[in-house]
Amino acid sequence: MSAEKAQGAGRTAQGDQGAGDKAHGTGDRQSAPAPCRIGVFVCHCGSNIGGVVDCPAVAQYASGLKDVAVAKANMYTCSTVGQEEIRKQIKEHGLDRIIVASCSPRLHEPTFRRVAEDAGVNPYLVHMVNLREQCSWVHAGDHASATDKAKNLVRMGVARARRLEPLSARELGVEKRVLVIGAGIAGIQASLDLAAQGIEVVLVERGPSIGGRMAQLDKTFPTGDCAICVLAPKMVEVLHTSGIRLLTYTEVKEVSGFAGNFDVKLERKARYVDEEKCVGCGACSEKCPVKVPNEFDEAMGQRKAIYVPFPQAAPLKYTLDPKNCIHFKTGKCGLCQKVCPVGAVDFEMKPAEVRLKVGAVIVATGFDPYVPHIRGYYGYKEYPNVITALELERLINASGPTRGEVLRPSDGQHPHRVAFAQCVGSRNWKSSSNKYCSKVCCMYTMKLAQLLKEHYSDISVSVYYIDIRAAGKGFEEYYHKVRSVGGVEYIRGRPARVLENPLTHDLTIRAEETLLNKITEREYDMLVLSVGMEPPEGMDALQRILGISRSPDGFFQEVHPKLRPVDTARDGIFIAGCAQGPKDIPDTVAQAKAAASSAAAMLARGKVTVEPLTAVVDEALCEGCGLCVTVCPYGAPRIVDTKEGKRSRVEEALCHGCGTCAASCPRLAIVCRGFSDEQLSSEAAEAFGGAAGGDGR
Amino acid sequence: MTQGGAPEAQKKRPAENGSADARAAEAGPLIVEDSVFTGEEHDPDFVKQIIRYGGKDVQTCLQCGNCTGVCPVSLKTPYKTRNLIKLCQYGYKRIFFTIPWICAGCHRCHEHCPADINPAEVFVAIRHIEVRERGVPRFIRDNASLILRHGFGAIPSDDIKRYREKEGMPPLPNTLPGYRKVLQELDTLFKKTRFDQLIGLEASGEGAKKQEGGK
Repeated sequence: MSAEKAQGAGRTAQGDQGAGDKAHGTGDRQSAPAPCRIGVFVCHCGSNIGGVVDCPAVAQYASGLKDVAVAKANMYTCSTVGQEEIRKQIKEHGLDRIIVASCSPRLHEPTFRRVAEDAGVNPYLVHMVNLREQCSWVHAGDHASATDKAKNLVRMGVARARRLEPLSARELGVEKRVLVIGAGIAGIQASLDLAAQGIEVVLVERGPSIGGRMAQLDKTFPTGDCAICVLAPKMVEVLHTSGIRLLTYTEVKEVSGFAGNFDVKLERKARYVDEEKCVGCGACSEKCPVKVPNEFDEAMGQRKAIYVPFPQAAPLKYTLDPKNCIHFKTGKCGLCQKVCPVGAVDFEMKPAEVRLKVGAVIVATGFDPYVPHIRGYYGYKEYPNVITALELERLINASGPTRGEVLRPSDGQHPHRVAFAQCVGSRNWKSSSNKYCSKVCCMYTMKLAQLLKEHYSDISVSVYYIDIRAAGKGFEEYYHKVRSVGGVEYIRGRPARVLENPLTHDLTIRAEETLLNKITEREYDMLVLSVGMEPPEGMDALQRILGISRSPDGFFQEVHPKLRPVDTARDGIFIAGCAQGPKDIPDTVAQAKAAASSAAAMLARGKVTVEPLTAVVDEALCEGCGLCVTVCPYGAPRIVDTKEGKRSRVEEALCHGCGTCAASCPRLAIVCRGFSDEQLSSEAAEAFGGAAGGDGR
Repeated sequence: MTQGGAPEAQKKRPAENGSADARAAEAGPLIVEDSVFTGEEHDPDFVKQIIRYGGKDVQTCLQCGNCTGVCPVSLKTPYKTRNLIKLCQYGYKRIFFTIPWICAGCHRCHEHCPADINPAEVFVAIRHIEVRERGVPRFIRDNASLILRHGFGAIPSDDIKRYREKEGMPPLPNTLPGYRKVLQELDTLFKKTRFDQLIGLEASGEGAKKQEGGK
């Protein structure tokens, strides 16, 4: 690169698409950098840096370095005054490279890039030297050495700045359509919000009906609202909103592409009932001779082999379960097909594939209740009268298998003494359990205890707890009410043993009542396990499809727990509800609205900005070995056939600029823009005494 | 409690507070009738010390009481597993040297503990600490000396001995004392492992001379 070209590039390369690529031509790789005019701004950051590092001395030192036109120390470089100072110096000294020696680039790099751009310098010619996190904060005790280190860091930065090249960001169009995965309350709410803003929605649900876990609940805390009564209108609204395309009994198979332009492959599983024809009359189900446990009732009730999971199901279309259907097992029966008045039953139905282009994805896949899987965990599945809270929820629900009557599974009698055990499968640091608090169990136990008390005046309810967590609007008041008016007994202690009388199936719970400092044994008719929430089945597969990360608890991980709670590390994919972690209905709805709003904001702009700090392949060197394709965590490089043979090409919109491919390439054919070998090695050479060879490899 | 106060308190401990603890222990489980906890009994290093001697971090205990509920010993003693762990959290090291707490080491508490603490190992650690700082408790030492002398710890009392003689039996059961070689081996074992030094015995010859003056 010639001297005047470098000068010119620094000042005018704005919007010159090819500039960055050209700069990486093979011919330039070995050359010494052209002279340039660097401005160094050393920031005190109040006393954060200035209290340890002698900033004026560092600036003084910097001004003596080669190519440095001006060096200044400021109190707060990020302030308006500090920014104005940079602009002023750019004008006065005709700077074409800017070094800000202050905090982490994560904090203020965008700020200083904008300042440079305003003043006519390409924003990618700004380099930040971290004097705060990597110097003053870690060497607070040794001012002299910290100042020396700061000088070294600045000298390294200057070496690198000389070799920086102008780059420009690209902008791409977006598809104004959103894929929402999971049609529980989170998915439903997000879909409705997006549709209300005129954004097309494809709502995908793997089960036969929408509604999710909320549809299983009887009442909601702390208001006591009937869950299905508030949910059903929203479910119907989904069916009637023209902007929402609802695909039930459908699974996501593939999501490729990048923010704004995802290619999605869906599989519509064979329902064996034509959705277009089925009117939901139920004649098929009535005649079906097969009865199996209903998953929707947590297996407390039964359904037929051709069924709707619950009366309010939406869409009200029947589904045939081939695992239990006599026709699929023996080729006989076929009663449902005979009685269907519209001829909707189709035994020959095959899964169908649907391909879509969407701009954003919202993942609202919810949770599964914890199943006490260790044999005999408090006697679950061993003693009939030990049930989970979700099972009780179905029993107490008016549309449940017992029409709202709570009956003991052992003898069908009303229980008079009911105990709840809290924190089952939660807050347990044993490897087989979940360490986190599931957040809702304390509250739903209060609700269920209250409901039991309301249904049956002669019932006594005890709750074995470790801690009660009633943080939320109106929650503590609810707890107060349940204890006083409700008359629910709270026992602080984790049940140690549950023993069953084999004749009566009554249960004896032995526990230390810790506040009494006594070991007690009490008898109950029924024990309800307040189970927590777990990542749902199929989470691993979906994670692979989406390429997003999960936190140690197994739920999907947000980018920032406080400031970016619904974003994932893959741009354009958002998470909402219990897919992100255990939460109650109000939090889920709030998060669904947030995810919808974030997706809409991205799509409303109509375009996405693609950072130019990406990997680029030199096709003259590439041999198409495909190692880059294997190592890339984002699926950005792929092998294409060219005239010269197989070559790797990096999709810039997918590339995050992590540099894994560049480091792994055996032919050194891949360069990461902004982090090229000569940029990094010149910096490293300065660190080890300044014998800048310029090329480390 | 201030950091500076700790060494002071430790210095005067044997003289004054030892008896107070003893009284507390006699009075009942944890309720110290005639005093309030002032923080003086708190040893800030106790939790770390337990970890150093192989126990887990007791600070994560939720005090759920599951350990007590499954403990075969807790039914019979006022010093229940959960109480003892709480005392560890509080840093009340001294109390462990005065109250008659007991752990059978069955590890049931560990199997049930949701905080994955393993109280049984904590108690082993506390025993280590006690041996290091206070020496071996007298009953252990007495017992060890019996083992060294006779080959077993449960020695018949004088009454039993007389009764045995009356019935024409030898005063001691004819088990290990008959096997000189085994006693020799025990002696070697005690010396090699320096167990004799640890418990303050002179394991010389076929028997240990009783040490004078308590521990």
